[in-house]
Amino acid sequence: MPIEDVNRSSREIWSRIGVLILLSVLVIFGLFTRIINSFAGTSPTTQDFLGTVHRFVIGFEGIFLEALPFMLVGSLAAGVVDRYYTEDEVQSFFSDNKWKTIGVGLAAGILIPLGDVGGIILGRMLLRKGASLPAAAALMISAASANLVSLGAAIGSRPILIGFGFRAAIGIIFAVMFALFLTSESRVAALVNRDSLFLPSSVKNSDIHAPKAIIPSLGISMVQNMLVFMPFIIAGALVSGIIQVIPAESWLPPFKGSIISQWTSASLWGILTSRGNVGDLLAAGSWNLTGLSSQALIFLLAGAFCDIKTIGLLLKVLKFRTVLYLTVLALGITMMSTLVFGLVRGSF
Amino acid sequence: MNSQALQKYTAVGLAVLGLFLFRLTADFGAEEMVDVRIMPLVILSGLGLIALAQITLTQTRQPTHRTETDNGPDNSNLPGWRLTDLLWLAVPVIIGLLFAY
Repeated sequence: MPIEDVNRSSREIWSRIGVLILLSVLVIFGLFTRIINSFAGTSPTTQDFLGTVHRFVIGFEGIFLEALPFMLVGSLAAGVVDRYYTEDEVQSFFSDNKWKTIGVGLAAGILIPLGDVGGIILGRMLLRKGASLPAAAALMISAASANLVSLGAAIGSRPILIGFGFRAAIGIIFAVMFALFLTSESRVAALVNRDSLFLPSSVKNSDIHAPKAIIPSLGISMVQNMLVFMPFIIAGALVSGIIQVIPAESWLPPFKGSIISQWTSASLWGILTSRGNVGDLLAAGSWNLTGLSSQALIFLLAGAFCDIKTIGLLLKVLKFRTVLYLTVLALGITMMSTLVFGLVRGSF
Repeated sequence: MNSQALQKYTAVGLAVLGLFLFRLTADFGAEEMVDVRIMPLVILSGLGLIALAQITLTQTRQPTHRTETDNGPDNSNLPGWRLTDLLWLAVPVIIGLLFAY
């Protein structure tokens, strides 16, 4: 057996053991808290413990439930590309002209309601079908910041419309900038993980437009695309759920203190809470601030581009170095754009 | 475990997850977890998961896709069925059922 296959099966065994341990810990701890809850008195320690567990469940399930619809849409879009488009067709859309390919990626990210999760799922499938990396990057970034579902949510809830507009504008500018930055890099294999790379298959897509069993074929493709990313969503939600129970009540939004501490807290909150692209807007709108504050803008941008869940999903597609560049640039553009917005508006 | 069995269990896992979403929304437990305005999307996701479970289950008799043991050339960009992915599906259900009260 080739060394790569041995390594893969060894990784598979270890990841299986890891998930089984996680499941066992969850079941034992869950039963334990159930028993405590059944016998719970009025002791403050017991109530504190149960309250912490409750906050963890709300944090975890909230992130998971927000991500799931966008994951399904992304898997559907990826399934359509997988089953109905040949590699040649995808390449003709996405790889001849630099501006055209970035434009198509950007338009797909904005027009298809993919969100941060769905954008990454579709971006990976496009890469595997031979689309250029700048196009996939433009799609992933624009989908996380500006899409039709977020626009609908923002129009429906007026106070956050400016926040959506700001995030969408910065997201589109950042998507174009990052995509152009990637066009200068010719070694795609150095930036993208091996299982997300375009590897021309020895058997061509001869059956791809086969009329028989179209829906089952699409459904199976959807499920398999979804299963690839499900562990990253759940792991991100677990980490965020655990982190959210740690901070004291004094470190919850809206943040107090100097402008620097407000900005740092808001960006950390955006990164750690891993809310979805609609959830971020609704959360910022619920902070009951007068007008749109700079901390809400920072939270919206940091939450869209580099939250824990998004970083985990991106690491499935891109190499660590690429994700690091993306995160650092995203945080830089978040701070710069909020500063400029504050200066133009004349206040923070 | 062979590929067909994994596919069948995956279908069951998806159906359980879909039903779990319905339980959350029906018991109004989800209200605390996500904004009420996102609830219709959660219900649609539950329906979508159940539909996918049905498709996955009916396709178990026609194994046309790659499995984790296949090594030959393939014309699909599909990843294959893995037990680990199936186990991950259980995490949100376990947390929702055992920890939420």
